[in-house]
Amino acid sequence: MKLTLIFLFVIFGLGIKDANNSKVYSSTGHSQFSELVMVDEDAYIIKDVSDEFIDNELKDLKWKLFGTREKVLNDEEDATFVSNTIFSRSNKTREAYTFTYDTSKIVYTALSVTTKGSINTKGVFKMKSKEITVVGDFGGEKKQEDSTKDVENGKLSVVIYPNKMITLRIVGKAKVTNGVMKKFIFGICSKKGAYEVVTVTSTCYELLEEDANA
Amino acid sequence: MRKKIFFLILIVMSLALIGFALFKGREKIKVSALTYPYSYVSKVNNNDVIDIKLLINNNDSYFTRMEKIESAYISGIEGKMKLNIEKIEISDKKTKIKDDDYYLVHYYFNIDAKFDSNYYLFIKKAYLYLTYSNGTSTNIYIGSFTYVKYDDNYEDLSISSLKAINSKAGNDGFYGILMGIRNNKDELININSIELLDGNIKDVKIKIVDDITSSEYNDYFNDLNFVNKVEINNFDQLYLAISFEYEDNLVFPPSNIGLKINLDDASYYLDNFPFYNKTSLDLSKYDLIIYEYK
Repeated sequence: MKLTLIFLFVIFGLGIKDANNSKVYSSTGHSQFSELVMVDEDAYIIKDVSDEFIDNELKDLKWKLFGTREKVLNDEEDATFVSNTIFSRSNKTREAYTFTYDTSKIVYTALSVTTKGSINTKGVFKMKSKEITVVGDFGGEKKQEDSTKDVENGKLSVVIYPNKMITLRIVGKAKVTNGVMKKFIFGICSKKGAYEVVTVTSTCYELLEEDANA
Repeated sequence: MRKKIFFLILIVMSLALIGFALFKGREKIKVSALTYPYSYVSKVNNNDVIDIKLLINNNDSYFTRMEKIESAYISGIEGKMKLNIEKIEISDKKTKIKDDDYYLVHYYFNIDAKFDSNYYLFIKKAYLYLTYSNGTSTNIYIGSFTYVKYDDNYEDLSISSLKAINSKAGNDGFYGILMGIRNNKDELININSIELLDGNIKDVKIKIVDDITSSEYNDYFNDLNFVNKVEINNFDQLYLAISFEYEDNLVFPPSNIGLKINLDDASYYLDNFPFYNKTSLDLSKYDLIIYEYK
């Protein structure tokens, strides 16, 4: 991947907290995306392919004494995504009320990794995040000088009317790379399976009001 | 003989180490900036925190020590704002620019000023001036800077829905906004114009649309039936498509911006909303200015 100069920076407190947590059930295989749709109809996400398909692709990977054999199935394919709901508040009373949410506290990952098989998600994340030069809020611990105050920007106030529901979610664009991988130690295949790396390239926030009983 | 060779190697190594340490000490600090359209909109009593992002090749120098900063300003032809440093955050990840590794450093400042009435400042080419206790001063181009404070907000209008319309594949930024707006009063309200509070945005126009949950919303922006004024009936709700143009080709499109709705005798303000964020950037495409300091 020609990613040596790709520079990721994430505003709104994006972190890596979810990156290793993608084994939880999700319709996309990634805990933070409720929808992940490839732009090219021929491209696919790992969640949508069968175990038999992955097993067949793994057969193409030749023996090695040490190290990793890898076959990329989709390389940096364009995709669109919808995040899980950030907040949803309904009002079933007779009075409108104001709800305030601090958008700067949203934790969201710019690089999401999921795996199938015995491959370790953390290991793939470590390997792929090395290929992509990442800085910023994304990518681990930050060294911090003295803090006197919390950041106050990012407070969103909305009025929720009776029988209405307000939802905030994130939609955006991403690049998806997936493939199959085998790891060898002394010629023995120690781990094998499929992996998928989703790099979020842009995000848009959506605030939507709907009927509470809809 | 062996002892002599050993001592000779030891001396050569010591000299190399001393030379390396001296060279490191004299290494120049290189600084660059991501030129954002910085924009802040809030009520007069809100304490805004200004987050300026710099790229620095050294993560442990006077440049990133709060106590070394003696004064700070954002300045340009249109005006000047005094800042107070609150916090510095340094990423532990590095990125390469022209063979050097750089750290992304967030400088958090508060504005050293009190406001008791409406205030508007737009600096098209904004520079960050920092003066350090060792006498070094900077003049770093950081992008544009919009700063808006408002006193009164019109209470009988409220925003029910809001979303940016993402540019088509391959393009950055957003080119439109869809908004649900509600009249909470038993009287008709005239909306005379809408302003997006970032000085890089111009020609803001509006149009009433039927719905904003449809996936066909790109069609709303394909015709030219946009106007400046609309009316909202008593206790009614409208959906508006908002179109606009950018002044220039910006490296980073505006992301967190506020808006102002101009009514007959009042205005409704919405503080910064995270309409759009670009989360990855190929630095090789941009001609970053590198500043060097001793």
